[in-house]
Amino acid sequence: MSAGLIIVGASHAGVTVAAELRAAGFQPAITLVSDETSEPYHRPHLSKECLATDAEPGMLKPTTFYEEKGIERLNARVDAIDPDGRRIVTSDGKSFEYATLILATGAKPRGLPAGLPGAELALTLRDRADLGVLRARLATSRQLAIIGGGLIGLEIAAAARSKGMSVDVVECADRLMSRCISPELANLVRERHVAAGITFHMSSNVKAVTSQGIELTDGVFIPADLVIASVGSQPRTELAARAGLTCDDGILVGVDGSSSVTGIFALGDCARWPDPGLTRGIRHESIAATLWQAKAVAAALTGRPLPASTPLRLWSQQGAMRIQMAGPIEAATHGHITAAEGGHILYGFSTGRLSSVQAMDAPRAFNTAVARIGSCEADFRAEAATS
Amino acid sequence: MTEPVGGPWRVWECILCGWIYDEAEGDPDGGVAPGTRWEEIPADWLCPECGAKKADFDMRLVA
Repeated sequence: MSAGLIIVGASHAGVTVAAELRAAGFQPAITLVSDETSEPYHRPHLSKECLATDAEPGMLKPTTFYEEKGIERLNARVDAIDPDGRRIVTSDGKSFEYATLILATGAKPRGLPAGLPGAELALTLRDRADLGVLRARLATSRQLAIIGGGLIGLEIAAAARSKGMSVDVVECADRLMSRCISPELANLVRERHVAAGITFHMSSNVKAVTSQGIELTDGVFIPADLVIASVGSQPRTELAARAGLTCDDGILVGVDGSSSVTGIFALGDCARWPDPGLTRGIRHESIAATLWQAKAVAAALTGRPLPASTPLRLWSQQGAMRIQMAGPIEAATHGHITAAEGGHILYGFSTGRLSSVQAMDAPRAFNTAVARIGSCEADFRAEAATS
Repeated sequence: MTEPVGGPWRVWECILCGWIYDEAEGDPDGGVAPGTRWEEIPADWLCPECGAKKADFDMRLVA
């Protein structure tokens, strides 16, 4: 049998590229390799309802999907890639040949600084195994302290608070979610969390983690019997780097997902894709970016034109709050925030056009506004004047 | 193609992630055959993009 296509990683990126390839008529054998034993699941659920309600994450596809589509699942850890011999080697010593290799190895939680005393005491959340550990600890803990006020940290905070735990969040910046949403909306979100009983320590740095809590550099001590670090992620590029693929905080790829090594592609959180407005490219850790990349790789491997680009979007469920974002926030030079649907929506403008939209509890207004990204600011002014 | 029984196919949009469900196309990868009305989708079906449950979020009728 001739060598087919191997995908390393079976989360959203790996599964979706397999599905897109089959949808595009790709015929060769596809093998999906993952070191997780679970059937592929929705990872974003882990920090939301899985913590708040003890629900299990939803499956990405029905169980029958893989067999129906001729996609073989292999439970193994890939230890090495031999790009010259076009084969991968798994941890049990077996080797598998490929004609094309797709890396969808994802990301891992960024750890606390190695020199920080007690750093190893802080738990992180990324996969189903982490969830099991975290749930067991949450069940026997009363006071949770979270290091990091980003999307995931706040999702965990809201879930724990809804279960009656006392929750403190430590953030080194003077605002929350600084990579994702504008300060005005971030402040509104924080007010809601404060009203729910979450305590924030802004512009604060951790000096040490102990079994009793967190010591801050300003002398404040936060008592906690469980500490979680949620300070961003790092792309899992070790395998790619060892095989000689060019990496720079992500596997560097072209517009079709092709890496610096012939026959190897990469997508999802492990890859850095070109972005028309940026010199370095972008590692947009979102389902939306991953889905687009899956279509692009499938198009490249089946000789079809690349898909049209769409605004990248993110969402976050923090307790009862729904937060949604689309478009780059840093590009907006000014914006205005307005009440909508019982929540708020923020329009960001740059060079006279709508460039980004963010919403808190205004999902319909958000979707309508996203469709208008790129339209003239003057139109919004005219509407505001007549409404 | 003749008009389907029960009126024209409708298009729904996930209000969380914006994914489009077109009744004519269904969600074959998710086990929902083409031509499945929104009301006939099983309760345990998930939005293929964001994983929102059918019962937990509103699909918005867009056409």
